[in-house]
Amino acid sequence: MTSLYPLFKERGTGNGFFKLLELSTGLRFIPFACGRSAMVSGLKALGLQRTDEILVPPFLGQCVLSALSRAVFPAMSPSGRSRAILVYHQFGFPQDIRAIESYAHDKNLTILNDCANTLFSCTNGNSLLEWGDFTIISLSKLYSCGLGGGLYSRRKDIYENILDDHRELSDGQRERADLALETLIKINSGVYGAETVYEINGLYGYLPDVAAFPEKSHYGLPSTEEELHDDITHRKNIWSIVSNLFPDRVPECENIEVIPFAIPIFGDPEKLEVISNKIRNELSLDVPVLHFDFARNMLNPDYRQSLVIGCHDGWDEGLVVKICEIIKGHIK
Amino acid sequence: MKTIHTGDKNFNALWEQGFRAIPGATPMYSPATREYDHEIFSTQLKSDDSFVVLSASGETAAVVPLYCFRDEEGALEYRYGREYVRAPIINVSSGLKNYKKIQKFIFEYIEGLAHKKRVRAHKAVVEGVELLEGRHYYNYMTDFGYIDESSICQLIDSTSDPRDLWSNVRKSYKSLINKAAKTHTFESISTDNYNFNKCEQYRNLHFRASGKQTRSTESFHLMYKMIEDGRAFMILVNDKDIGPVSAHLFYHSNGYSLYASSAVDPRLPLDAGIGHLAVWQGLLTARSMGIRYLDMGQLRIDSEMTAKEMKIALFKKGFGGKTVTVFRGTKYFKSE
Repeated sequence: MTSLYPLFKERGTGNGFFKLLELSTGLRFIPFACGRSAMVSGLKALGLQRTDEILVPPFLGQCVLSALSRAVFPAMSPSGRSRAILVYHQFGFPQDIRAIESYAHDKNLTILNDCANTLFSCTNGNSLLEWGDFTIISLSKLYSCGLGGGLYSRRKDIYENILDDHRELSDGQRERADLALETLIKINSGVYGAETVYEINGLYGYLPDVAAFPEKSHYGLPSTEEELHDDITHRKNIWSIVSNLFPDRVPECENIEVIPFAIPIFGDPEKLEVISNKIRNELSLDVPVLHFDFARNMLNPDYRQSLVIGCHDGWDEGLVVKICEIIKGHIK
Repeated sequence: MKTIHTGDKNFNALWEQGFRAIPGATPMYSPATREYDHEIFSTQLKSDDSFVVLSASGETAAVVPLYCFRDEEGALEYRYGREYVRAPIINVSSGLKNYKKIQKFIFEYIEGLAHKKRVRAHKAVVEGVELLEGRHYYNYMTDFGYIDESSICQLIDSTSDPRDLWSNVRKSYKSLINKAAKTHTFESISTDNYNFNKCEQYRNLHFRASGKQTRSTESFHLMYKMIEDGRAFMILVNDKDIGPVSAHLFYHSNGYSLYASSAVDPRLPLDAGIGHLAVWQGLLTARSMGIRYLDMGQLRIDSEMTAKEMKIALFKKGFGGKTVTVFRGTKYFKSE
């Protein structure tokens, strides 16, 4: 069953992804074991305390909330203790950054720019990665690298502070990071059987503390400029197929360029469940029904239940056309 | 579908049936907790409009807690004291389509009741386990016009290996627990070794801590009855020299446990680690009883937390586990 998330697969030469990313974006990311460890590190570098609240959208998974909890206090409504805001560009669709920036400025909030779902989406021609006080990425959501994330900050004070700590931490944790990836690969292969849940809990419990990037993860990442651009083109093509077929059911994207992780198509929730099951049975693809904020504004969201189509390289364009045909048959 | 309210002679039996059968029925839905609620809210509760939904075959399809209180402005609201009342829970065994039908019926029925009784609002909370166990992955109450006011709670998977549980305890707490364990003993009081006099230590400590008895003796006795009936357990910590110094109550049922309340001798220094020791032992006791999740409770009740509330929240987070979204919502009913 192909899911929204890619599984680990060795493919590249194992070299140079972060260099490629720097060439492509001009930004030098600090590698981490995962997006969550980058997140925790960034929040600590800002000097935030466990009693400081970070404003988060209400649909974050417990893994992210639990990781945030190590450094700050996640909250879903503002208060006098609010010090930061986590802006998550769900499925790679940029949030309304102007509105959020203005709000954050008024409330004196630090912006955590959560780009776990996209590396190359833009707003008004500007890369989303450059926005906010610091940005985190999660490469395993996009590529078949199993684990891996990164952090960038345009604020020199934060960036250098993290970089100093990171070198030392990372050196001491290489084996742990490699072991984490090995464990994840084993979990996904099903060898743990009934014990899987404990292994996942164990792994997700310590991952936010691991700064080192697993060596083997490099082999699941694009290693040439061509591979990187092929992936971008593939995602754009899927977005183009879906948005042309369902122009009124996908998010409006005026002034933004989306290089998506996944694409939401909203509709009647009961029909969506039927379609989702049909696709699962006929095509062995997991197109789940999830909520997406069609306002793309966590401060004033418009959540709608949607079918969600994946975009990684396991989602062949031909298959996506077939999915769309099934959806068309049910949604008029 | 048929509804059965609290005045009906079959209500208690049907509620109990639903409580035993419906997945996600945490201790907060138990008949024993309802009895306790009635006692502690005896002077504030305006009416108990809770109801049971019966399927066509007469089975309990859902249980819906619905307590009516006056708010600060004197208007009637469905809630739990000053907090959110537990949301309806529905039996999923009848299939998704039927589930949705029952859900729609319940929320329309609540709205009808609210209009009839001039209730202004309904504040409801979905237990954290609903998300973790995959029954609700979003705040479904927003589909029925509720305003999302979600918060977070801390849930500990108590089936984990004790070494894993210990490794997740905050470092500074480990030394406090070890320190407290050197000078204190503890006992876990449950249905197996129930002892009224030992349970009474809770009330004695409560009195010592607050300097007065702040609630009825009956409410304490109902707590002890929960222990006697196998729906709660207590961790009693004894100082080797001065005797009982703290008592901590944990509700449990259907594989879920909730850290409910505690009473600690105020003479103890803050860094004595007694509360830490008791919660740690509570976690191990829950594990030995086969309980799946220990819910440390909501971490943020109101948006503006006092320093004391924040301290309590940090304490609850210090024993590891998962920080989980607690879906909460308020619906304001239009007056006719």
